[in-house]
Amino acid sequence: MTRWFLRAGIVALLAALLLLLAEGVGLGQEFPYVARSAPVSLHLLVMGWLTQLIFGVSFWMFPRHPTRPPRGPESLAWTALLLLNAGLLLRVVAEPSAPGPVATPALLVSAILQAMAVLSWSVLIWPRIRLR
Amino acid sequence: MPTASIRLIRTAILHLGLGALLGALMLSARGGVLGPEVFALLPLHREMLLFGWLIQLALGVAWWMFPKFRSGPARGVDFLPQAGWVLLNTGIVLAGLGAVTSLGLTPPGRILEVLGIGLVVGGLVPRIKPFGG
Repeated sequence: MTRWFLRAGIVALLAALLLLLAEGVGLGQEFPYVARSAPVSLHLLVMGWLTQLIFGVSFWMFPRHPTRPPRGPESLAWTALLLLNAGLLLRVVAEPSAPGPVATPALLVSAILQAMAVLSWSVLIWPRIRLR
Repeated sequence: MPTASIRLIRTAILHLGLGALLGALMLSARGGVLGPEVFALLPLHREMLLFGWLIQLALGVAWWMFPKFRSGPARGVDFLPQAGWVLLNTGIVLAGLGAVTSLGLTPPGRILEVLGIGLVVGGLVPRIKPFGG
């Protein structure tokens, strides 16, 4: 499970770096998407990379439950992983072209997916933040 | 996991939840559901996710996992992270409110944040050493 969080986090990091590189070398003048991608690259770094890395490493290293399953229900971790990355992907696709007939509702769905991902991971990890 | 880390990490998760909720509200405004006045919450969103989530979580995990002392209290003076937790979170609330209101709370908030982080880091610095050393 942790490995999937880390793999997805690295993909988000690379995507953010590519966007920042494209912006840095002046591709924003040719491609409007790049020129409007600053919020996307920031959120790819903070949510896609840093937060996702934390989700994965905490699932691996935080104190385990004395009962089974020791790391809590893995289905919640999968839910957080899928919702977070679906929400981020939707944001990457939609945000630079918003507002628009497709982008506008897509951003709303993206917001809900990411908030639900945070909720899923919080429910999973909260009981594991305890004395060993 | 020590009590101070439990407090820091659990509070960090609360900041993540609230900060993400504020972010979702702003993204919803871009999605046309809410009005543009929601974007006034952006400084609070940044404050909660940077200081409340990322920095506070890092401090909590560091206090838990850094090498322990061989004699005396294993992790050093417990007062430092406990007081740091109070100051940091009071600072985040004040700085966040200061950013979205005209109450002039940002400067005292920032001072408390720096003091809070400084207290925890002050307790961590002597523990930056080899394990068992």
